[in-house]
Amino acid sequence: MINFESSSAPGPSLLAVPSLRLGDAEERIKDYIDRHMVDWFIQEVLDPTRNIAISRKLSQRFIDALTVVKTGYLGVALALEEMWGPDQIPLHDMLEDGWGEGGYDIVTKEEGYNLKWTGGKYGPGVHFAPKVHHPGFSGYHIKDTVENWGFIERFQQRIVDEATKYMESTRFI
Amino acid sequence: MDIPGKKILIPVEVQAQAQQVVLEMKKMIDEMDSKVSRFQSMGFVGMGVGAAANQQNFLKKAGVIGVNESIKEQENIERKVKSGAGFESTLNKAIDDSIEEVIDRETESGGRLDIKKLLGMAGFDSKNMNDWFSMVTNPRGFFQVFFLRVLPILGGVLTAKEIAEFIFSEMTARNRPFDLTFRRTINEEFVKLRARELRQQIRVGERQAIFVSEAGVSHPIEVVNTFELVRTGDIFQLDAFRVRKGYQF
Repeated sequence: MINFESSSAPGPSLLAVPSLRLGDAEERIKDYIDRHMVDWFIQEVLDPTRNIAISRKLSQRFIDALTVVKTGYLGVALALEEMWGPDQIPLHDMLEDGWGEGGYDIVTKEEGYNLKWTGGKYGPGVHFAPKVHHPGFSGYHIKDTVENWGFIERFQQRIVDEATKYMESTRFI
Repeated sequence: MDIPGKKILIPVEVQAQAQQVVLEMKKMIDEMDSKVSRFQSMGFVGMGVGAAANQQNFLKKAGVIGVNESIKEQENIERKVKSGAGFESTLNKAIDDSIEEVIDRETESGGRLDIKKLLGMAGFDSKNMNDWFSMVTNPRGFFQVFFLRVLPILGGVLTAKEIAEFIFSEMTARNRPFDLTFRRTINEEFVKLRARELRQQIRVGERQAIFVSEAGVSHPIEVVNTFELVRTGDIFQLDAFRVRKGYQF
């Protein structure tokens, strides 16, 4: 019990309440950061990354697959959806890192013109062949892009700025 | 950490940033602590005798007083404690002393009405026997002169309250500046309140408002009934002050 009129009797003074508040100030500021960090991550990392993907004319499917996940207390991550398509095929590693470096040939098991593709140097339309050469895919490398553009640093600086602003504006301590 | 259905590309931990903010905060707390110490040393915060010793520590820490002075103060406090005088009685005595000192300084007579001083203010010098002699020879004239001289002083003191009350009553009377300002303010607030209430009533459909476009224009007259809007679920159009085309005549 806090004695608010402790003019004569020794005991906790009027400053007892502020000192009690100071006890959990560290937890409160960390909680504030934890509550709002996903929003700040979306603004500072996810949206710019998506803008870059749009400017590179990547598929909308890939742009939509970019998400943000909360990995724990004071932890957040940029993530990619794992399963793709109606058959739920895991393509995330291939899309990020690429496959078939230098190109490779595809040959049918059975004889005949069983392989189909459209466009290419043979002109528009549908083409068939028993053997095709695939040039391979270099990958989107979204991780390197984000790191090169410095989005993560901006996000970390945003956290410091926002928390400081919050403390000053709300007379936190 | 693995999240089912998601591949994590870039995990970010912000413990370091949070710690940075916390360190900033602790710096602010230290600054505030020093301010609080000074505040306490000024005696604004009520404290007991035991806390008074802490006060000396605060003073020392804040650099307000030297060590020797603080030791003297400490001895004084210890002496008071030993002599049985509690902090409360000491405080009360100190307050009484200070009040008496102020009264003495203001009246120079220990707080009592000093007739000599009053006479002196009125121009009667106690050493001048002529004034007193006139009381014997011409009492009526003496008192006449006495009251004529003293009345302005006494009257000024006695009528100060009445004058203040009169001024206040005049200022706050009906149709006087205070009254007019007060009523104008209240009226404006009330109008605003009514406007808000009306808008909300129209919005929720408890009140009907029919807007009709100006007559005599070339295009057809447009009518908007708020009940229609409520019924058709177009309430947000009304809220944004956009008039929808209603019945056409």
